[in-house]
Amino acid sequence: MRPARPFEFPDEQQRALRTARRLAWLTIAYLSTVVVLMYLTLGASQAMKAAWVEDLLGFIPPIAFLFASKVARRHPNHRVPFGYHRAITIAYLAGSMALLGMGLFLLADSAMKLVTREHPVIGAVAPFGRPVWLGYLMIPVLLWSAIPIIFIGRAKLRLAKVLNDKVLHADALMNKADWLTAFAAIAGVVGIGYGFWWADAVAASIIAFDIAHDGFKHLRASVGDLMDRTPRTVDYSKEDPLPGRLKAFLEQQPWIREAEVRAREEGHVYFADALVVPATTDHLVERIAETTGAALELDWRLGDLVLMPVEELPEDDESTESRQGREAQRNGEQHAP
Amino acid sequence: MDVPTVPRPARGIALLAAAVLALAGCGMPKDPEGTLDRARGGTLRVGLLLDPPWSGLSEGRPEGVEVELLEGFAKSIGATIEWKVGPAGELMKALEHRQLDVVAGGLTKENPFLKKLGVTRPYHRTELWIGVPPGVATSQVEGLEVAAKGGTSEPQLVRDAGAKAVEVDRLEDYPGARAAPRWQLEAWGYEPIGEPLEKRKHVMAVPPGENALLLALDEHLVRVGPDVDAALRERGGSG
Repeated sequence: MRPARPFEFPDEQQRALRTARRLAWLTIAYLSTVVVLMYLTLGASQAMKAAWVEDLLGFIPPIAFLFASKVARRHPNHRVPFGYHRAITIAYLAGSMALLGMGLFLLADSAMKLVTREHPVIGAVAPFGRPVWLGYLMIPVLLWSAIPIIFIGRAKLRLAKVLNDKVLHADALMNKADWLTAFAAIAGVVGIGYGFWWADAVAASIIAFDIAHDGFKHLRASVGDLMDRTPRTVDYSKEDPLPGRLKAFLEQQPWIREAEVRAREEGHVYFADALVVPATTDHLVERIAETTGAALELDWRLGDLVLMPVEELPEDDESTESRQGREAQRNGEQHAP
Repeated sequence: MDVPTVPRPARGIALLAAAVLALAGCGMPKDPEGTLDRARGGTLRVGLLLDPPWSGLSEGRPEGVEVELLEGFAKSIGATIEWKVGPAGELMKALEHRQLDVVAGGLTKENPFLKKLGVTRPYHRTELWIGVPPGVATSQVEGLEVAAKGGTSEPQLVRDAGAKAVEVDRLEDYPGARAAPRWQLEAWGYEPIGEPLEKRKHVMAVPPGENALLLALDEHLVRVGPDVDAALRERGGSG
């Protein structure tokens, strides 16, 4: 039994990967400062607590990325013949469940505080002798937790597209949206400052909902990968056209009459099975080998391809084109037949 | 593509941050129920727990270290104090429902009543020690007979330290070793021995969420904090 072919990123992707790993380390270092500062200024603010939890959970994507980007590149072997690409997805599944669970818990916790009409106590601290209202310290800490991460997020977004990395993409979107959390928390603190005791719990509920929503989105995404779903673009907006291109390429081969492609996501790459109806069975084995090799050159994102000659294509409820066409119409695009 | 301008989100953020910081300066914090504003130039309603020398009654009038602190605070906001003496449970409940403005009287940070209330920063820290009378050369706590105030947790703390607790009503009446806060032992001329039995952080309580009142009280307590040691020594008495 031959394991799947070993996977190597092309040069552009290698460079992107190195930068992405550096950004992951940077995220971890930066988040460490944020988490410590926020812990010191938590006080009794529910919104601060929710924002702090969200930042703690923010450690999961970069750690998962660093770990998995090493493991995912291990060559397939006898024990794991399809390769280690799914390592990232599994780590990410765990992370998204943590997000969802934590978000729901915080949402319930904050709602309870509104129901019991709990007035948050934010007192004074005196780090340098004279008492200072803790709220005045919370605000700059929250700004520090909001602003740098936006720029880190934008950089990650670019790299995620280059690397076809859904996990990195999701992480980048979460980072970019972190500013919302911080400003909600600031609004909560300022609300308390102006005497609106409920502002804190309301802000915390918004933040908690955001956490849960992120968790749910990413849970859906990683479950889809694990279910061998049809490949989608890195931002999940539409089905990836690559399997269609592969099918067209195969049908262009003179020795192939008809082809049908079935592909699935495996981390960064797609694994495809192609059923082909040959026009002639001369030199079948050589032609399969040659065509497979040429097909894999189409795009670095094609990780492996198995070509299987068949007598006729199986009955299908709908073809790839009609399904993609329906989706394109839903998205309001023009679809050229 | 890489024109060196400040990226759009950065400009938006900078604007928002500036707005936030400017807004944040104006008059924060405020009390949701306006407690401090009402007390200013009016009445400050204080619930007093009795715990000499922190708080006590002399001929029906409140007096003590914390009474002095609170009288100073009321003066600083132009208020007159309306005192209410009562059991802890009742006073704390009244404070929680904002029928009182401050509760004080030997309260320490660990007090479970304080969980749902606004609490000042500790304005005085001390420790409970076992002390021996002048002239006694013992430093051995194990098996020592130590007087401790009955009806408190202090006798058990003495036993936990390996000594024998003698429960008394008034420590001054007992000639031998006594368990008392450090400032009290010093006032008696006693020598602390062994390890501290308990740390104590003295605080006062305000209604939950009345953060302006809390801040004002904290600021006052920090200002007059150094006077507390002197006041304690004065009231410590001898014997």
